[in-house]
Amino acid sequence: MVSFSIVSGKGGVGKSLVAYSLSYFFSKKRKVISLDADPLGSLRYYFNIYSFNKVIKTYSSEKAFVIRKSKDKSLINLCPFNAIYFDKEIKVNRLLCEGCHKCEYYSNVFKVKKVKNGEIRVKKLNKNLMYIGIYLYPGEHSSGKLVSEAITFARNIYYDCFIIDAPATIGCETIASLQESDFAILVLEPSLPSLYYAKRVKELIDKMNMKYFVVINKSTLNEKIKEKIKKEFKRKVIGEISYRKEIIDFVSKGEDVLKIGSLKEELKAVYERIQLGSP
Amino acid sequence: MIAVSGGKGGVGKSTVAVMKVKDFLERNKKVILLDLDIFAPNDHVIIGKSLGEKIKDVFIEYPKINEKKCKKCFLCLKACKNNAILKLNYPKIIKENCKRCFLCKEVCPYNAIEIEKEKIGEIYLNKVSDNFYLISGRIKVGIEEGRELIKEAIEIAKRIREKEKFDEIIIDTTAGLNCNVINAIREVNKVIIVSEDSLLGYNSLKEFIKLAKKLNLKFEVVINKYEGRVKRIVNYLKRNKIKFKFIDYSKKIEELYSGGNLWYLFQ
Repeated sequence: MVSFSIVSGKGGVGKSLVAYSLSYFFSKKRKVISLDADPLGSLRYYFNIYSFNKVIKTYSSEKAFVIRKSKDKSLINLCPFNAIYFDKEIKVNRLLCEGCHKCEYYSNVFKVKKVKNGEIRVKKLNKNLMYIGIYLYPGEHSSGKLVSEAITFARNIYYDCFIIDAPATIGCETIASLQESDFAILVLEPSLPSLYYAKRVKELIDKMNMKYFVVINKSTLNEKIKEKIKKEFKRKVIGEISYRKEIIDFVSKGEDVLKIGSLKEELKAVYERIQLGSP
Repeated sequence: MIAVSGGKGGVGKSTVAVMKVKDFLERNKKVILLDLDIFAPNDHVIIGKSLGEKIKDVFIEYPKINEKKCKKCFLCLKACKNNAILKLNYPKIIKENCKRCFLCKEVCPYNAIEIEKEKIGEIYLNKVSDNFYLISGRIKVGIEEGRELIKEAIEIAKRIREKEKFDEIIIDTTAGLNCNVINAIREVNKVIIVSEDSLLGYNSLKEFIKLAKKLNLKFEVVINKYEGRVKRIVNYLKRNKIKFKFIDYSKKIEELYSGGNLWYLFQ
């Protein structure tokens, strides 16, 4: 059994490419769950998924509702998040409500209810490979909890390799992903913004006492900065993937990127290195 | 205030924000760039500058049990519906679950709940030139949500705009559609939604437009790195009568960006 997360901090550096190809290689010998922890995730386009076997609605967010009409303006002061306002009558701004229950404690005008905030989407690709994705309804909160729910859902399925494609940034979804992982794979591109972000991700990984590998994607983009990354991460670097603009063409047309033979070789080398053992 | 955002990461939000700054400077306007990519504000990196001077530490407040005063009545635990108080020998606050509403403090008959401050981040100011200030908000690693940091940084930018007569504030946000993006764009006059010419960009663009409509925000779209690859994007934007612009794919911009030299665009 092995679980790991693909992280980067900065977006668009190639997390989904790495997650997709590792899912593919691992599924040759093991039962793999490939989980996209990004509500805007790209992973399903690499798998060319347009429909799901199962969609589970999630209720991982709570909001206050007005259940008795009121014109009492003093109720506005109840909310520490300024979510209660007066517009002809007392109302709650759902975007500001944190679901803290304070209004409900003091006044029977309000009731806090669980609200539908998103979906867990499941697709069985073959007997060894299952995709799980999440979707957050626009404007809803608690995407970190949504990721945790998707992970819990995955934990109830039998598998022996769990690959999580984390979103850009190092917010709640990424932290939820890392908490479930044995190690991380940090993907970078040779650009200063990517390196800057990666150092912040490394801080988080160190803080969580985790081990990690580094993969340099688009490695031919800038030689000088590639060397800088190698100097920074030294032996953690386990693979380089050349810059190929056709990847974006392939994914946009719904074609399998692993049909690009030279790319497949480079990604397979990363897979083989991971198989040798943890970082 | 204008925000530059867009959902998917790596589409060029920061590049577009910097180009926007350039537009203002060329028209002799004074502009503040507010970098609210709070996990790793890196606009200073792409223009080859530093974060500048730290101008503010941002703190948030948590309730804390004073065990000397606590009589173990556990009224706080009964009041809290967020599972943020644990029943040990004394009540214990679980920070991860605490929403910081301080209801526990209000219901305590013995005044045994006090306020504890925790630093969550820092705000920096780089006075790049008389007409261009860069303000960056950076959150401490491991803190998930930056509502207070974002709010404080926006307040500071507004105060500087008033005091030093700046014409515009341009906010650069994190990737995603989460609360950190919503808090950064909620009060702006317009959002520039940046996307890229790919299927992934198309999907994220549609989601972001839904969010902007939900927030009642005015918006326009920039399709970055355009090469005519995904025809559906243009069809979609035209069909929905959405104002949009292209930025053609440019190897030059890609190179300047990767090396932290985007500032050359200004010379």
